[in-house]
Amino acid sequence: MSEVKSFRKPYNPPVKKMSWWLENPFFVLYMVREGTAVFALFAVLEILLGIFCLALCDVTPAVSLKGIAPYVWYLQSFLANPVVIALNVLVLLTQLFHAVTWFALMPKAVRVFMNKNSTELLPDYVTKIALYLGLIGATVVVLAAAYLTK
Amino acid sequence: MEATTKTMKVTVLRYRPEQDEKPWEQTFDVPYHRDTSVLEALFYIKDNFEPSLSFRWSCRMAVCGSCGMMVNGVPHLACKTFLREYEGKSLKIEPLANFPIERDLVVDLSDLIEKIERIKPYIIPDAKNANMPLNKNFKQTPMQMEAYLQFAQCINCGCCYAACPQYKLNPKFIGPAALTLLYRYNVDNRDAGAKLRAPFLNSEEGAWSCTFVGYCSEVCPKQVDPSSAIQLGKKMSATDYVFNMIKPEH
Repeated sequence: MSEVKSFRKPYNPPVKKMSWWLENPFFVLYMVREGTAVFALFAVLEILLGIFCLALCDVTPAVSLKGIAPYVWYLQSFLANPVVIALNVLVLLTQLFHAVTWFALMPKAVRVFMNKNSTELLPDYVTKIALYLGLIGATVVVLAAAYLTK
Repeated sequence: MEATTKTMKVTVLRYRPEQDEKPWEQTFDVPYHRDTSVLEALFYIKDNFEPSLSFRWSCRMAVCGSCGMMVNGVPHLACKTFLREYEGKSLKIEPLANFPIERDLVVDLSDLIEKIERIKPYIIPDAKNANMPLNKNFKQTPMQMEAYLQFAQCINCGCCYAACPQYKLNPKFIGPAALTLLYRYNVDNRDAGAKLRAPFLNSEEGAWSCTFVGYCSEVCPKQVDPSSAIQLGKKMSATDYVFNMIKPEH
């Protein structure tokens, strides 16, 4: 054992458990990106409500205005409500923001060589273009399906 | 060299464990030129104002990784950061965040070192190549080397740990540098130790504690891109999980 007296007294700076992300604009942007999940949740609940309303409809023995009243309420009272429309616009904007910021990060999770003899990696922009094309493709498919089954 | 010397206000966080209860700030006027680094500003303060000011340094050329510290709240290597980049502003130099402060700008990095040791950061050859000289069966093609080279540039400066909010909130997190090294050895074709490293990668405090904030890659002075290595590690871990479901090890 050493005879030298130690003055060690490590200082642990306090951790701000709730407000750590306010210290740096980079973290604020991250929290906004993660925060968009709240709006995604709203969209999910909205669709679930629509499905529930549809399930409540009574179409036996025949379709009647009274039977489909829950779904009519969903379309005409709920979805047409200005507050819900405003929220849906917010959902669209926040999810687009999420997509853009998430796609910007995605190339980090992709590490592919150009070909099997190359030491050159697939450039980031190729991954990003593929992601945007995928998003556009999926949107077109969903819209086309909605149009065709109208 | 410029004829006129400008001065900048440099505030340094001081902490002397034998007399201070907690850190305090001390401000100095430091003359600087175009080529004055933050490290040289600290030398100037130590030589002219405060001989007791403590900080770590060695190579002065961004190779040794000793002088990681917070410059205006952002983790930087002091030797690679220049006062000219802060023209017209003032500087605030603090010890590396998320580590216990030993004295002034010196922090206790033992947690980082332990985590790097834990993930077995060395080539573990397979049974066939065990105890063979390294020049025997270990020749690599340029592509095989390229697969890990970027992640082998880490100098263990600790900047990524200071940048990581997950490490701040949960010190058990293995963290960016160690997980990057883990990935670096796993993708090295001379290495067969991925199975031995899997428990660390797959654990709660392994890759899955990372929420992809990405700030570690932003501050890394060697462009190692730890957040990329961790996301690739997650893929590795997920593949491992699926294969283990199909064909369990034991």
